[in-house]
Amino acid sequence: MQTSSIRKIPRQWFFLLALLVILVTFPPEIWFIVAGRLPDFASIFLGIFIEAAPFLLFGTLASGLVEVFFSKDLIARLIPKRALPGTILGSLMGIVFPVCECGVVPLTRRMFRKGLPLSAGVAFLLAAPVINPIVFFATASAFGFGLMLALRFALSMGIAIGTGMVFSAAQTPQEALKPIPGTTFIPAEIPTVEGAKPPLAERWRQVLTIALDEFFEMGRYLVIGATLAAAMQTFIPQNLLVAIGQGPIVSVLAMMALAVLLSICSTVDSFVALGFVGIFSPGAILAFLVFGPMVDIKAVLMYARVFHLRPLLYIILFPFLLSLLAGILVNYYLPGL
Amino acid sequence: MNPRTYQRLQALIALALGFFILNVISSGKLYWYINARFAWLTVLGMVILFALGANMLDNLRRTRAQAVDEDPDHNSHSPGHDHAEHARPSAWPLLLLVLPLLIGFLIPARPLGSDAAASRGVAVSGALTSGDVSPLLLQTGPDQRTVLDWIRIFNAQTDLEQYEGETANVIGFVYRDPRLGPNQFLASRFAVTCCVADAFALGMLVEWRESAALGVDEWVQVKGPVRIVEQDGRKIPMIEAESVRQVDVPAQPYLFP
Repeated sequence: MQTSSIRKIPRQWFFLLALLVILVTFPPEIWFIVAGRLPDFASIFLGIFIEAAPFLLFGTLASGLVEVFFSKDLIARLIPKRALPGTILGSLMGIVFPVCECGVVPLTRRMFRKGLPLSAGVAFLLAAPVINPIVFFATASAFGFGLMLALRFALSMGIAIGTGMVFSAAQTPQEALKPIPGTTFIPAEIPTVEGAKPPLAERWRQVLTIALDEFFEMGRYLVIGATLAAAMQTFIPQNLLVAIGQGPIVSVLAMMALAVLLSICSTVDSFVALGFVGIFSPGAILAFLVFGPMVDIKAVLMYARVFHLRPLLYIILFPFLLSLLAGILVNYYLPGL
Repeated sequence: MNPRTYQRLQALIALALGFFILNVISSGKLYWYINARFAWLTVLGMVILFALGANMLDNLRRTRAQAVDEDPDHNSHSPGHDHAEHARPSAWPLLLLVLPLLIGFLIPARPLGSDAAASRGVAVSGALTSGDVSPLLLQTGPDQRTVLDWIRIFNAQTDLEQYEGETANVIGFVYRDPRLGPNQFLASRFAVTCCVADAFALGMLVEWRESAALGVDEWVQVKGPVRIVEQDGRKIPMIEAESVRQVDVPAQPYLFP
């Protein structure tokens, strides 16, 4: 215990030191520009934080509710044993749990611990930010009831199921998952023995305690993600990306990069995408809408908290390759989308 | 860090974040960050933060007696479970959540202006929403329309001649694009769909003989007849300003499409 905490602290300081060294190598003129734009940085940072924090809090509350009120049998009864039906069901669970990418990670992690199969959980993780009623109406109001809406939903589901099936060989979620570091009064496993249930008020307190813990655990990635996205937007001109908007392959890559860096919530990304219609190829817009909710800065940071390295890479790489492929195919075969 | 100290900090930071959001709302600056239609979510989030913080304070109060008897490092209710996962919690994650407070209090708040507009580009026309312009919008009087309304109308309408000569009355900040003439500026607004991260800048071309005297980012109210001009093959509105008056930053600096 002691050795691990001794090892930990210098590593953090090392990063700070390295950051400091990089920063002092910048010429002083840059600092004037940076200082002048700090208010913009603060606006965008706080905009993302204030907008996303409620969604994260809903996710952590849902996670607490699952931990305290869901029994393992319940999930075992609801999710089919066989991999493919379970994974398909997992990709559709967002309809019942309308969480966005900030809230889905803590919720999924708790459900894994309640016996959700890995493949179904991964499909849920990737699909839920899109396959839910809120995002459906947001996308429909931005793009109308057309092919863009249909393709966004079909591709998101397909990619989520495909990536989920990659994990169907895993026997238990623990192969791919990091343990949940408990820090509070709540033991790592709440005994769910019948008859030994604590009173209702006590269980609600547990829900709130778990939610607070998870808010701090996942919230830091929201803070880091918001910092990176705000810095990107403040200090790097968007025209740089837009300059490459029309190449059938390059434009798709550019929009996917933008999706990752902007880290906008899936409930509103369709309105942002609308701003790029005409500048970017249709395949690029579609790839933005499909890939963005699955993989962006804050989501990846949160995934890294939950999954070991190899599963993490799969969860990033498969959606990346499949969205890229879909975007390029659309540009070649459906240029009028 | 001692787990109890960690929990005290958790409660403290959650409550501080709640009060910070309360402060943002009560000072009227919430709309400097997010679209008004999400305000209720922010209020709900604030309530949850208060509930989480208060609950933890209550936990700490109720377990105080218990904690003095025990080893301070071991605070769990269940004696049997694995303590390996309950390593001494690190303070880093907690400190990261203080960052929003620091940024909120140390950096002066200011709505996005010309710097951000320059880095994102200002749209004088373009697809803002794919849907048709609502009939309601067309019924609004010309002096009620915002920069966003005018650009929407010009984007959707084919027979624009009927708008030629109508008197526009819009508020925006002064943005100068190098491509504009010496007597021109853009009366600009940011439109925010969700939060400031998705803000996009819109501008209405203004012809005003004393344009050069206006400071960049100054908020102005522009009145004058609308003329139709062509730019890159698209018809866009231009105000032939009869008056340009300095105004305060509006309470809602962003437009909500």
